[in-house]
Amino acid sequence: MAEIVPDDAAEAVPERLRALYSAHATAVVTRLRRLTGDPELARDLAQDAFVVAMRRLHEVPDDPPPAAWIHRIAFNLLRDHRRSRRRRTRLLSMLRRKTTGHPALVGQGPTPTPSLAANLDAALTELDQDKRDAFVLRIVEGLSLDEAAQILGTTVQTVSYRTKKAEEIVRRHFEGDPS
Amino acid sequence: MSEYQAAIEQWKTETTMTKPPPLERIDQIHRTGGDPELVSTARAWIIRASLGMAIIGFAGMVGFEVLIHQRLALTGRAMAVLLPIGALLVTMAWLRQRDLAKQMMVRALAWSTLVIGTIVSVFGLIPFAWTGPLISLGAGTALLLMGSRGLGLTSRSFQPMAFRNHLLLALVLATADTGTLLFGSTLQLGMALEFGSPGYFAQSGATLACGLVMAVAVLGIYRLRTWALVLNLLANVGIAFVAMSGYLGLTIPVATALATTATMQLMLPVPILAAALGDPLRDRSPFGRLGPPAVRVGLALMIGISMVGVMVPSASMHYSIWRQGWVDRIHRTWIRGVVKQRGVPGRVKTEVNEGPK
Repeated sequence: MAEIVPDDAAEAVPERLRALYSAHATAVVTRLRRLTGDPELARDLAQDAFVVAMRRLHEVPDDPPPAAWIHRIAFNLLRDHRRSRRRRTRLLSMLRRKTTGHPALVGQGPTPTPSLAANLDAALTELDQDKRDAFVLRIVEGLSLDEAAQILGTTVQTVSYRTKKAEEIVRRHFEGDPS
Repeated sequence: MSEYQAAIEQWKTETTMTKPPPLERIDQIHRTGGDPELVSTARAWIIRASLGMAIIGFAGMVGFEVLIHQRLALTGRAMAVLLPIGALLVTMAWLRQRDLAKQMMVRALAWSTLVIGTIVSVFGLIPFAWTGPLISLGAGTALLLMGSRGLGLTSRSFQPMAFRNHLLLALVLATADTGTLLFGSTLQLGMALEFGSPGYFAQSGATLACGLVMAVAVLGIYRLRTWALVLNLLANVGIAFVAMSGYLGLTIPVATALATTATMQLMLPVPILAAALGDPLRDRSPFGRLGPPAVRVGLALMIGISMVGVMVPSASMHYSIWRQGWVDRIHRTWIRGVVKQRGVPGRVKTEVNEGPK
């Protein structure tokens, strides 16, 4: 059976990957952190993205630039992760909702005022994944509609619509609109 | 600066503090064979065990053949099951190959096995039908465990700008259909060799020809040729027609099952062709969001049908209206379709099955 067998004799880390890593690792993990809202998950996905990149080193393009290529790999892995974990996450969040409100488990102490960033984190959890992706890429990272649409694999109109809706929800969160 | 804008700025700064994973760790995972784009090694072994269950199911058919006829000849069912058994062995071997074509083939072969298993359970003759649930359960579980891992790989030949999932689904289903047709053809060839009947030879050739046309369409779609999409459409229409009219010598239930899958496939290229003709709603596929859950539901449904279907009562080893096996008896095929075309007087008779004479 032709499994993937690691080649122990191969050189340590190829120079091309080293360059790719030093140029883009921080950007990849930062974007993933923003898209997922979970630093640990972002690190895991970034790690997977670079393992994939290492396997596909011969495919690294010059045009489009490698940054777009590695970000696309990372986003595809994120999409796979979301697909496979959706049901499990739903179950976990249901259990969490049931347990976190229990006074015997969480206590009744005073809660500190959240920072603005924590407040935004909370606001982003109100968005569905599609709107969150559009918000992060367009508003936070300042990508053009074309660039965002390419990463998300959808149309410019769709990205524009999702961004607008996401912005409305987040603004409402800050302005305290009860509706 | 508003509170909203200040929050975004603060969040931007905070989120850049996440440290990337160390390069040494990435290198270590790479060296131990870890590959996030493929199913894990452990899962691959569970999938292989499931596929092994399907192989046992096919081998069971040969076992029943030996028990009933008190001999083992490489004709009939024994010959036909060699094809799916071989296909399943290939599937096992290709599970963790970094090649999109192989990953698609793995799905297609498992789908084809699932379709065969379901048809055998529901419409097969007793006792052969008892092997159907094992085949369906094995192939269906394997497909559920595979998920979409491996289908995100890139390929030089297959780099669609849009509708990637549509094209992948069309490819997998068309390849699965090819596998099912080839199985039918081998079954007919086996019967032709067993009974020395030229009718079965002709039918085997016709079924094989349909399978080959489908295979050409598959190759074309993989190379993203427009003619292949059109050929796929025409082939599906053609297969539905020749199967239902009796030219392929398949029993009515099997022909209906083939025609149903062919009709389902007819819907797949519609959004692609609509986009090619300038539909402004291009890329907004109606299947986009429903795709993966619908596939899972379809899989579970087919496994369920196979489990329940095998319980449909039938007199042992007797033909019934429901359980007619895979290959039609020669004279019945003539009554259904070809007789009419050759100008034999009288209308096409509605068939009443009265069991073997």
